[in-house]
Amino acid sequence: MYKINTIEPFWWALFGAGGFIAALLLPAHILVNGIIWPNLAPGDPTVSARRLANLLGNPIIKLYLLALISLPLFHWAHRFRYFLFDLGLHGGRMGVAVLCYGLAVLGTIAAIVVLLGL
Amino acid sequence: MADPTMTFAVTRYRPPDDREPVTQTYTIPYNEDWVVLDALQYIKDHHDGTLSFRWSCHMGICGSCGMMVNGEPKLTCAAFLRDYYPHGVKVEPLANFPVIRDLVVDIEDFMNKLQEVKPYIIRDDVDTAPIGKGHEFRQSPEETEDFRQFSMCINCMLCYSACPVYGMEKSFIGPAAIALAHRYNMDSRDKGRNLRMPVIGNSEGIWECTFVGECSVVCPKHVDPAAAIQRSKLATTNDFMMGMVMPWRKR
Amino acid sequence: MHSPHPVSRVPSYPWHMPSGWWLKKRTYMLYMVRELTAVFAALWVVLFLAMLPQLKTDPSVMRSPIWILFSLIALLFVLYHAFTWFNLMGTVLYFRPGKAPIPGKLIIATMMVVWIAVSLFIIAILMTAPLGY
Repeated sequence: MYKINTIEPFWWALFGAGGFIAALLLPAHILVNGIIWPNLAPGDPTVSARRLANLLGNPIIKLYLLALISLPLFHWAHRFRYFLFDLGLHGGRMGVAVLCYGLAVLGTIAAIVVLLGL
Repeated sequence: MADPTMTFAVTRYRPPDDREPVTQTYTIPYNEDWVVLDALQYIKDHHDGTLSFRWSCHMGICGSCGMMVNGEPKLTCAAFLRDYYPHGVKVEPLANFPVIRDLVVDIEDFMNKLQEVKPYIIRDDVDTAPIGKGHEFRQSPEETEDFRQFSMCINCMLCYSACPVYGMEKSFIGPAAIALAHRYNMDSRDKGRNLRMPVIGNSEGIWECTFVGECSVVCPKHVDPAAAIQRSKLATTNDFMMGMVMPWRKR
Repeated sequence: MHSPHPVSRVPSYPWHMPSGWWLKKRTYMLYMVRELTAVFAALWVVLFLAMLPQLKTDPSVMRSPIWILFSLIALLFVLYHAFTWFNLMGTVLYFRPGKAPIPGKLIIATMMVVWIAVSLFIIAILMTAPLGY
């Protein structure tokens, strides 16, 4: 085998996974959770507190939501890091990497904490 | 009626008299069959014999005559005047490169990078395999198709000119070099992938690329270097993950 | 590994990348928009996460007009992300199972079909009875 001087493939893999999740799953969720559900009649059982509590209490749903939230964050981190390079950022590249991936890690931890607590 | 003409705004850079590149305008006769290269040659023949530019085959195969035509990297032998007439044409040296003089850019960085990817068949039996019937390195037409498009590169550097990453980061090895590496990596006769991957797979190689994709758009030979780069990213990531999960594995 | 980049051996006028290079060509602008879609995707999931705990007790928190408006904008960006993502996949993936490689356009079309199917499935699950009344 061979060695390369960077762990970039690791971040790129997360970027790819996140991109897939964002492309495949997010549009439907944004449509329903962001637009349709908020516009349903207040008494609609689809969005009753009881149903939502049931949904959010389900461990499989929690795992699904973890993927839905965490992976797009890593997708953002990698893409945004390079977006900053495109805008002309040269120095402080290590700091930018730590900031971007760090935020994605923090977001993932926050998601785990919130989802566990539901 | 006067014969039709066209206006050409051409970059001139004649150190030490010119401190920086300047634009000079010339009027040339419009000819339906002409390409921008013909116009430049007319300017050199009739207006200013000191105009300097590279060219050779005049038919889109040598890769010498790449320049910016109205802001787009093009082979000037393939840019027809009739596509621009009656508007004027602006000719500038290829973007992203230092300018030596007029429309001539310094291509040394590019030439070095091409060599770095070990663009030749690598096998450990090249010297020892006997020559003759029964000892050819055989390849099926399908295997040739795997890399054929990437072998069509004419080293014209339009892709480097179109790549904003190369424009900003000179250390980026660049589209054509990676496409060339991929051409050999995909060649069934080659066994040198593990020697090339560290060259293109390091931080100044494929990972600088953000898939803007403009390299493939401007390529006059439809090489699609963007595809070569992304596929190399996938291959390297695969190797990386396998290496982490199964470190004993030899490839 | 990589040879140091040679200073031009011939005297030359150096290249300077114009800031705002991406404003100069439509394809560059679209590229920047594509990259920006990740911001909207990330922002939406973070806000969604923040909303989750409240949904169990007070689902009316979803009715915030800001949330709906932001979701509308985010949806446009994320749809652009999905569209460009599947198109790019056609270039990244190369398989030759037999004599001929799988055409990129077929890969893209398959992904789009899967995307439509998955999206409909998600919408159906979220909008109808299954999973807990």
